[in-house]
Amino acid sequence: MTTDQAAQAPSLTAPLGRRAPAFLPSGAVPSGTLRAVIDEFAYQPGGTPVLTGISLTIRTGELVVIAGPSGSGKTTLALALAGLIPHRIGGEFSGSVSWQADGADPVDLTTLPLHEAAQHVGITFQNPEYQLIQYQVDAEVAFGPENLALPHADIVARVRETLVAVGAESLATSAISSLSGGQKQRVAIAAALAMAPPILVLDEPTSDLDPVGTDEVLQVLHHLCHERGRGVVVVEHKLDEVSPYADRVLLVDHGRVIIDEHPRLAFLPTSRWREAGVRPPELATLAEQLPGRFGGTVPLTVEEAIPPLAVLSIAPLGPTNSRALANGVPQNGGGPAIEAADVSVSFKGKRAVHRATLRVDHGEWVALIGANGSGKTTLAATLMGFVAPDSGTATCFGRPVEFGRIPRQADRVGYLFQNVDDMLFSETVAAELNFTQRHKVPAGPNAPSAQEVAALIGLSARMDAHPYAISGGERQRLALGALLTRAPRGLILDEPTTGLDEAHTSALFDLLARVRTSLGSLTCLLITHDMRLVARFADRVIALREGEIVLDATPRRAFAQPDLLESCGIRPPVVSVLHSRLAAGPPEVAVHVDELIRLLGADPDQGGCHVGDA
Amino acid sequence: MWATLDHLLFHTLGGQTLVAYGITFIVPLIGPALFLRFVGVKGLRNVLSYEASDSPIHRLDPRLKLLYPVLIGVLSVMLDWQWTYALFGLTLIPWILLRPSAVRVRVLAVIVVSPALLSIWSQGLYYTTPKDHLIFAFPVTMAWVGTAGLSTAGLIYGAHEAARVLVTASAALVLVFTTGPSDVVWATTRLLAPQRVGLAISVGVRFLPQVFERLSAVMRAAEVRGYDFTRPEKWWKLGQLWDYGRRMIRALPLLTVPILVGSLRGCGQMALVADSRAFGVNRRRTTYRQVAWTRGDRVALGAAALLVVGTIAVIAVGGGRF
Repeated sequence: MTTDQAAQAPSLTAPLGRRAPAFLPSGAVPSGTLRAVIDEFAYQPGGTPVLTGISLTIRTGELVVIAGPSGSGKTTLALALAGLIPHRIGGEFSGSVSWQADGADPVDLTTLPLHEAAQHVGITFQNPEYQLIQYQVDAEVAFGPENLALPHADIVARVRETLVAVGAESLATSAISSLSGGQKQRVAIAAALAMAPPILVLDEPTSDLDPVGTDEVLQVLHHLCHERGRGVVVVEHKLDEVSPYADRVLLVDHGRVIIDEHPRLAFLPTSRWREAGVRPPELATLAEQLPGRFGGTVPLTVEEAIPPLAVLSIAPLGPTNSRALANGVPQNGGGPAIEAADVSVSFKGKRAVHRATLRVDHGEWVALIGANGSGKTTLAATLMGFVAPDSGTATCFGRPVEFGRIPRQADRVGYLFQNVDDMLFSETVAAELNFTQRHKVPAGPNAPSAQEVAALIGLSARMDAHPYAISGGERQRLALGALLTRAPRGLILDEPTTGLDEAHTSALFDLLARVRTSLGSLTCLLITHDMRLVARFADRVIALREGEIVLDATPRRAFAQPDLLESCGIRPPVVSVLHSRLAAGPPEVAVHVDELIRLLGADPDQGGCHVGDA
Repeated sequence: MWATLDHLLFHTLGGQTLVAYGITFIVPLIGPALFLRFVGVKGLRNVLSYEASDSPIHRLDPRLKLLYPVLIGVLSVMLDWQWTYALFGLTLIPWILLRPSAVRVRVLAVIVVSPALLSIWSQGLYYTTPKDHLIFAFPVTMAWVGTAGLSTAGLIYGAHEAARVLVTASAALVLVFTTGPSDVVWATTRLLAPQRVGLAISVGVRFLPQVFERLSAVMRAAEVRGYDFTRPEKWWKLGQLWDYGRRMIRALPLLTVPILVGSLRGCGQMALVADSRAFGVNRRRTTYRQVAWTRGDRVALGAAALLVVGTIAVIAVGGGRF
């Protein structure tokens, strides 16, 4: 995303209402209802049911969010709603999924051929990569209508209209491979819409996107739903971001819908969500802790949260408890562990990283943030020796990083790839953890045994399991454990929580904390788009914009600069934005709900100040 | 001195062995050396890519351009070698219309000529019969390469074969140089009657670069796990080279697993997407893109028809291969 695009992107905190988009289309959509009554569905006959006792009704013009922990059955529910179960994705199914246009007879989607079901309910999957099968954008969108043998004029109209609807008309002749993640997701949506379904189901459409890219996609869904009258069902982990657009929020757990409410009511009490392993929106936590202010409902935007809180006093922030600060920048106490000095990298003449200088101290946990394509992974890859810099130097634990000498570098630093499946090569968990011995890979003198690592990552009981047969969260831990068998002193983690729910994310970072304790010290460089994760775990934040480091500060100080972060494709946690707005731009902001509540509860006579005084 | 040298090289077992080694191993290196010197891997990537322009060849219907190398390849097989060289001359006409830059001409010449040279050399060594005259007979020390030596008949036959290499490469590069990938995919899917083949080609063009990226990522991941793919710094250190080769071969099953698993998962999803977009539902698909038939296309089609008629005439007067 360019700076200009970022500047044009609507703010998360702006009043939402029913904004008129710049790309309003004209096509009419038949109104109707999607009904799902699923008694039971299991992937294997006689196996554990993945869905049980589902009874759902979704109207056109509604935006419904499905949330739930990993493995709860939400993706299976999405597949069922799209008519893919049981004929295309087999299993034992009892129930029905039907579409009924107003004034017409219902149509049972489970008995229709897939292409006919797709004209009632379209679906897009989590990874747009594998659902874009043509070379060029317009060819991709036209693929469905061409297969339906529609007249040429109709195909042209559908391609134009759907690309306009998702704000991708300027991409019509672009090669798919040249698109960003957000653009690919929008094209995937357009391709599904070209089949003209009144209902669209999306499975985690924003999981790989930066916050601004996420908001772009959600805006598109909002417009498709509330302006064009389509029904939209979206499976999503990012509840802070999606809740303002939702008409209903469903919590799915153990294959059942246990909550189906308007987002103002669905998240209270938050304990129901936490028990299911799902992180509720920060504003829900705030509303729950201040019931007298919000009257038992959840504000969906920062704007809605401000008036009830504006009458309260707000205390200044105390010093951070993680490390000593000077002017908000942590003092480098442990000596440099990972360093880049004036590093520039380019690909095919295009600048990826420009004169980046950074330092991560021993034991420090630093978050590297920025938009998709801002150079985060390239910079980290340079620090690991994957990429040769055009100029500048990198050092790791006192030794210069040599391009291509990755095994040597890996003695000291482990690199956890975003797609951990790329890191698993063996036939069992035990073999994976014994990789170093089997391939005679040198490990550090204090390298733990496979059994010790298995105990640390909680996979001792699964040593004989195939790595691809364990859950996503377990695979994540296994990949991390595989790195730990070499006793690295530092870790570079590239988007380690993509697709993980709250429980798995917490488990992963609890594991890292245990590793830090067991090794005595662990240096971490974390690449992420999840600002709540940054708030919880990072000592320091480094933000990249178009390959340049534009910010290096503590999370409190970094999140107090929303405009700068916005230009980097990043949005601070909602609680930080709220604090910033309440205190009129303080130099540091709260990064946790509990922290903000403590500040709001302070007595003005004891050092607090009234909102607006700052 | 020359007499001594002649004696040493051609009349002693050691000298003959040395010359035979040169013929066997140095000549085939000329092609790659030319390639590395004038093209290189990056150059190949650049030169084998579409370059936008507004030449008459660029404006032709992609389907005609896709059929062009096929037609030329078939004609070259039917003609004898003298006429094939004449056909090669005709394939230079589109290049004249294109007016490529001197740099690109140089690179293209290397790409076209190197395989032709290799063809002549390989036939010179291995297209031998007992009655052939050997320009140079290999000594007994070279018996292991499986040829009696370099033969005149082989070199001539190699020149015949090279003509077909030249003519096909020249025609194929016109297609690559003047047709964007999306046009190639479109033309392929429009020309091929089975939709599945068209889709397979489309998916292949779309995902081939990704397979290489993924291979690179998986190799990096293995290196992060400690597996060493580092090449020996000195190529003459044969022990290290052997160890490197062994490590690479052992890594093949390691690397295959994640790539295969990832690809299969992707294929499953692609199949769902294709089915949900009604792929294969109708025997005849309609098309979003419509290419208007231009005067240039008619001229090109006329030229192709003339070429076919001319070839038939040549064959009729004895210029055919069969």
